[in-house]
Amino acid sequence: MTAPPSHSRPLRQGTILILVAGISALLVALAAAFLARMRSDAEEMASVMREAQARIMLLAACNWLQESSRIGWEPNPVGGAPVEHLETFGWIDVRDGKLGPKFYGDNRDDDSRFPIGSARRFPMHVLQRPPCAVQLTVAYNPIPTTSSPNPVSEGDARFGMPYLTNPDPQPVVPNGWLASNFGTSVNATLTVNEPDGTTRSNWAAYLQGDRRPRGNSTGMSWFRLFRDGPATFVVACGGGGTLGFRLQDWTSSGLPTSMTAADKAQFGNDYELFHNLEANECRLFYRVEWSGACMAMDYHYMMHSRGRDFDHYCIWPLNASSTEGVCEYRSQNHAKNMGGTILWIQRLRSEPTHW
Amino acid sequence: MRRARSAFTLIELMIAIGLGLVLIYTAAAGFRVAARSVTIANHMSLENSMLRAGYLAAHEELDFWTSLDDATDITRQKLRASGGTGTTGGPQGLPFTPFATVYLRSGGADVLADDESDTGWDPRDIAWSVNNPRSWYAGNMVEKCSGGTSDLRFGRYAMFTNTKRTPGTADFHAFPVTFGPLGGDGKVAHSWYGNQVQGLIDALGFYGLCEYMPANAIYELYRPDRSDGNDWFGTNPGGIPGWCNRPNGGDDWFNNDDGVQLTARGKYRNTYMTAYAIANPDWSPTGAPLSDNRRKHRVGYQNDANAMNTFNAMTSVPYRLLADRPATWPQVSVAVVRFIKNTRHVALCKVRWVSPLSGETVELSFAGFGTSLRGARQQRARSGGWAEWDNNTPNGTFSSPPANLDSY
Repeated sequence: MTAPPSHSRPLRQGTILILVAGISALLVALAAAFLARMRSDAEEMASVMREAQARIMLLAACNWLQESSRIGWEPNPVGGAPVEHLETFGWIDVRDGKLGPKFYGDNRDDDSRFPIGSARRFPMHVLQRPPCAVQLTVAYNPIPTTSSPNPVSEGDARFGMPYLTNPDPQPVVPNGWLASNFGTSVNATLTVNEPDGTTRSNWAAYLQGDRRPRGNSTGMSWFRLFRDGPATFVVACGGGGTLGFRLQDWTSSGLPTSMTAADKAQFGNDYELFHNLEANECRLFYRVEWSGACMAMDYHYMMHSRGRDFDHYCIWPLNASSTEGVCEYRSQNHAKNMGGTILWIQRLRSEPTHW
Repeated sequence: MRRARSAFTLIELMIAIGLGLVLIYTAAAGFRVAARSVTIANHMSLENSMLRAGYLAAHEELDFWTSLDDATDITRQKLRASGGTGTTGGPQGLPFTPFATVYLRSGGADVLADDESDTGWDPRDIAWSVNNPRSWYAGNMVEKCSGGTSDLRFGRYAMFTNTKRTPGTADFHAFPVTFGPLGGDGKVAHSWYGNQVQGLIDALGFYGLCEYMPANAIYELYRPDRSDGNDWFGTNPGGIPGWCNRPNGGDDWFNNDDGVQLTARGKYRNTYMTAYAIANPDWSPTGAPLSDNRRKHRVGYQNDANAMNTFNAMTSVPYRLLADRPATWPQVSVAVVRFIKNTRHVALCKVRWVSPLSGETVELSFAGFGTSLRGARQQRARSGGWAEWDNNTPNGTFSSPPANLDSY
């Protein structure tokens, strides 16, 4: 005879199931809320990151304005053969006050390298290898003696002298200036293969770098300059993926700022994608003015360095032509920056018509 | 035949209740931990949100200078002065003073740009064009003044530039330096540089002077209208105003004490162990912040923490991000301190929040890069409010901006 069916067992099992399910649901809800909060925080953080990226671009733009005013402009900076890097003399030429930047011998009002009323776009990314890249390794430059690894005789000009026979810092790509080249002409004019394998192509590779962008650094930030006066610029700073293109650049045609087919191809020829990138981008607008004035022209009295260990005096090179008496040595002036300075920066409260 | 049981035994009940209690306690504890985790996560998320808001607010302040001068609130424009002129009505020395209200131009009227007779800053003088001798400091910096009574400071500097250039005038007659090779008579080549220096410090104070002068400026000038008073308004016997060449003066002398030498100096040496700053407009108990903006701060290697604390208090204008907030929310304050030290124009952003639960105080400090004082002045309309700028001309260059604090 079998026992009658029990009523209590299914009931108890159901109770436990309900309890477990309820607690599980509660935990799942809590976890979901937590994850949603984290996602929300991450999205907010992304906007802060875009803002920070855009602000870094203001600094980059100012640096570019300073450097390009003096360091010069290469006619064929990308992909072409290395050429002489000609110095220029400022957005307003420091010699004659006319428009620049222009090369030596050009005394015209010449803004052709960046005409007033035109814009330039600067998508920023990290290069695979910058031009003239160096590495962080120690340069080995032993003082040669008769017993050094590469011994020299006492009559040798190098004997006991701390010559910089190995480049310091070391180039990432061998550039032709190695110990084996000591005493020879070492520059871009190398025409023959050196014993260590250095060739002229090495020098070119060192000089040009590898300008291909690193993949994880693209599409994050850019700046764009609009020259609206001899030395005044509208600076558009962007944190986002449009590479500095504007919506009107996509839709317009025939204008200097219109996007080409190759430009649009960078966005998969997808206007919606581009529009979306533009809508989610952080853009800040500034005006700045460049000046040809360099940094402070102070000098120091070197006498203060006597018997002291203030290293801040040691950084002042002696100006030997200006001594007034015993111990009245003066330093040379304290000019640190030959690229000019930024006179002022003004954040614009709204997007200007032209940028 | 046994009758089927219709109820639990006492033992079963006790076991069930015990197990149930353990289950409920475990569930409750789990729930409590989960709830506490969510609360903490929410709180941390809130703090992070407030921190982000503070970071963004600091950058807004960095670009618009609102805590120092609110373009839309006349009660918060204490760093503006009006009335008088820089050279005849006494120093104004406040960084947001409109030029139009303090300067006399040549003969009291506006003159063309680049005129040597300008007595104040003219924004039309483009970039202090460095090719123009007018903008050069003409003294010999390495010629030191020995003694303190010599008239030949920095060479015969006054032959080339001072604040007056017309021979035969009363001012010129009083000029202390004989011209030597020029036979005691001659026309001084330039007066613009000295007038710019004097005019800017009169109008804007120390920080403002350094902001408007080009980076390589030497803060030195000759004034033939000397007073021998050796005070702020006067000059020493050599015709050099005391404010720019007296190293042993008090904090209200522009020249710093480095080296205790009567030398012409640029921005680096003048800010070598001192700093110029824009003061908190509400710092001065008298409500007259002129002296606060026309002083140097001794925050160099020879000074102690008290000097730094005073400097921080005088220059920081913190404001609360949320004036009204729930009691459980952290209190966040934002400040941007602006000063010049070792030639660097520093905008130190500080975001501070205080936990309402633990009282813990955390501060995030970073150096920002944004609108300069001149940019901030150009943002502000002279008639009040913001001076909106646009380049909406057909040729894409620039339109005439509305009159701002720099305009005449």
